[in-house]
Amino acid sequence: MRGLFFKIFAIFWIAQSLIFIISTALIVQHRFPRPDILMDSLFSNLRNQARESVDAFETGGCGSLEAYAAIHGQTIALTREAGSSLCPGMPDLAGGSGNGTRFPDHIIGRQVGQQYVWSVPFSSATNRNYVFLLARPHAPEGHDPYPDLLHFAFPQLPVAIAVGGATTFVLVLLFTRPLVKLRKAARELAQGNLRTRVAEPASKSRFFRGDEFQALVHDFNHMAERLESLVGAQQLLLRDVSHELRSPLARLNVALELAREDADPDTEIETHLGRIERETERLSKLISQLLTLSSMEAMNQVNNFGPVLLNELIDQMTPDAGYEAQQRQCTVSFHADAECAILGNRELLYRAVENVLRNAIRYTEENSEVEIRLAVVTEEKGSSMAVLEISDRGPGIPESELHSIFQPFYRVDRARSAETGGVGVGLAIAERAVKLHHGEMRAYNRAGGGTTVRLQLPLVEGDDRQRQERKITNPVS
Amino acid sequence: MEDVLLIDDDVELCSMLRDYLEKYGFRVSAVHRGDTGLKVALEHRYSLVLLDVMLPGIDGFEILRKIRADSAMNVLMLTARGEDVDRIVGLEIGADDYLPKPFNPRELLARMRAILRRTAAAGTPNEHTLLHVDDLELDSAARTVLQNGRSVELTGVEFALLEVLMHSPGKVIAREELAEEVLGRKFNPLDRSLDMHLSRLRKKLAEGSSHEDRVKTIRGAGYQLTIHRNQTEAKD
Repeated sequence: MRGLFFKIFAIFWIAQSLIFIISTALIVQHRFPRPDILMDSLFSNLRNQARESVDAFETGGCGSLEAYAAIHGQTIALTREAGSSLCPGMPDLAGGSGNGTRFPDHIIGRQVGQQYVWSVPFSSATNRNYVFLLARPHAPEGHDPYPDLLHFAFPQLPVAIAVGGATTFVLVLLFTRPLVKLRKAARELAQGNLRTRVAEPASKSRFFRGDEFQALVHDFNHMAERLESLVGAQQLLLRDVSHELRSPLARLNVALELAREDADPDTEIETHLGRIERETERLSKLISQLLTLSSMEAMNQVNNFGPVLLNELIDQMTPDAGYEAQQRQCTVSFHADAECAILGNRELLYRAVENVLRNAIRYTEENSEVEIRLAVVTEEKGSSMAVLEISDRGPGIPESELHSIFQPFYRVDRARSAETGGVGVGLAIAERAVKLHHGEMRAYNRAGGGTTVRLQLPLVEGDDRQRQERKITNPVS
Repeated sequence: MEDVLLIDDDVELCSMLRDYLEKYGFRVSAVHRGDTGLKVALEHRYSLVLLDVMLPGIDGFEILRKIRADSAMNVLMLTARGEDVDRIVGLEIGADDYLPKPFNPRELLARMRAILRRTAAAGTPNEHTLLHVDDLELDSAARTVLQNGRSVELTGVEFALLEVLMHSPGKVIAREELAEEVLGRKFNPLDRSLDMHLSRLRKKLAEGSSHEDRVKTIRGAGYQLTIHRNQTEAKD
């Protein structure tokens, strides 16, 4: 979820900052006089002054020009086309550079010493050309448009970006927080925890009530509720049906036995009854497995937790499994790389491993070997897992169906089901048992044909194990 | 002729089971309600009670508890298959054995015979033996166990278990051996009944003794009856 958070955050923040900068620039451009406007007014002002001083000079000579200068308190001078000052009493603003230069055709400003001197060419009404010179202490401002923008926007810019960042942060949080919660819940739901709900805020604040996220959370919870009730109803139905089937099956068993007692063992009836008995047994097995499965589905955690040594558990079942395998000219081998003690319900674990092993023996080809391997794998997080792999040399499972084989009644090859004699619930029971132990069960196809079922179970940590071993020597059961 | 009481609410099953068991020399009385079943069980002495769990009136566990309150009568529970809790609870209360429904009647017959054999074997006069281990005294003919002179009430299975253990005190006896000798069937790692019976026996022996554990579990091997050669030392 970091990804989405940072993406939205970065995009929004950058966009906000850009909007601020661009709009500020535009505002500055429109509201503040551009330098040429500034110059225009300056120039017309200069021309005015030039006309007035020329008028003063033509009407009253140097005397009235000096008076004009005194009134305005400015340092001015007036020259002919390219000569020295017309009035000797006035400062020589044309300076050295002024001498000998030709008559300027536009207003020029230049730095002379400490002063900045404007030269304004002027043609009087009498058609004589003058150059009006005005000295100013500084260069005119407004040459550069950017100082204005910076002056205007600079103090606000960091504040604006910071405020933008803060509001974006809140906004993005408003978006992503419910998303994160929803995603977590959805993932948990997918893992089979149907009781998952997303917490709906107490909605004290009217502002957040009834927004789309709120509605989504509500809908999600509704969906989860519906899912839970549907799955629950299905499980209940399965359980109830199995329960109800037990009584007639018990009666059938006794009736069958009575019939066998009365039947003449040499007649055909005996074979028929044998067949009925086999089917009845299969039905009993199916029902008992279904009941086991449904009671495990209803379980959230394992009762009767205790330390279980996997090596010992497997040692216990290999003789029987080996005998079963012998019927099909197969062998069962067991290699343990380590002692694996895990915490769990011995019976459930036994059943899980036995079901997988039986399945492997059932499907492996004749004259082949079923391998059991036990090892310890340390995960990146540092927790150690016991890994139990049971591999056969069977026909394998199509890649697309590898995930489905742990569903109850799932069959890869329907035609084979009668032949192999399984009821199709064993692997589902095994998977459920492994899940109840916070483990994982997966199936892979082997190179060279066959299937490996891998059971991964969390190992008992060192401390726990010592504690558990103390418990064993002092049993309370 | 052994008298057997069958308490089960399935009328038809009861009548068929009666037919079946009568062929093998049992006299079967059937009761279909829990409360009347308990009354009948307490009024007469039956060699064996077959007890269903789900019963109208009071349930099978309650009946078993009341029976156990004043007798060590043999009880075989018929539990619901797929519900582990049922059979563990049944064994904890003190059922001699259990059989999940639906069961094969031949299996039922075998279990019933195993229970009755235990009782009968102890009753044969020529096997009259008295076993002594520390403060325990077992009389296999009278079917009594005395601990420090005080009598200890044991069910059939518990008695048989203690007898086997007292025959070879201090020796580790394998679970497989115990299962075959006491329960009369092959040891099944999923079958917790042996553990259950042993833990009940342990509890009963602990009541009248200062020893912590008379019956020790040897992990991966079996069980052992501990001996305390020096009583005063053990009592520290």
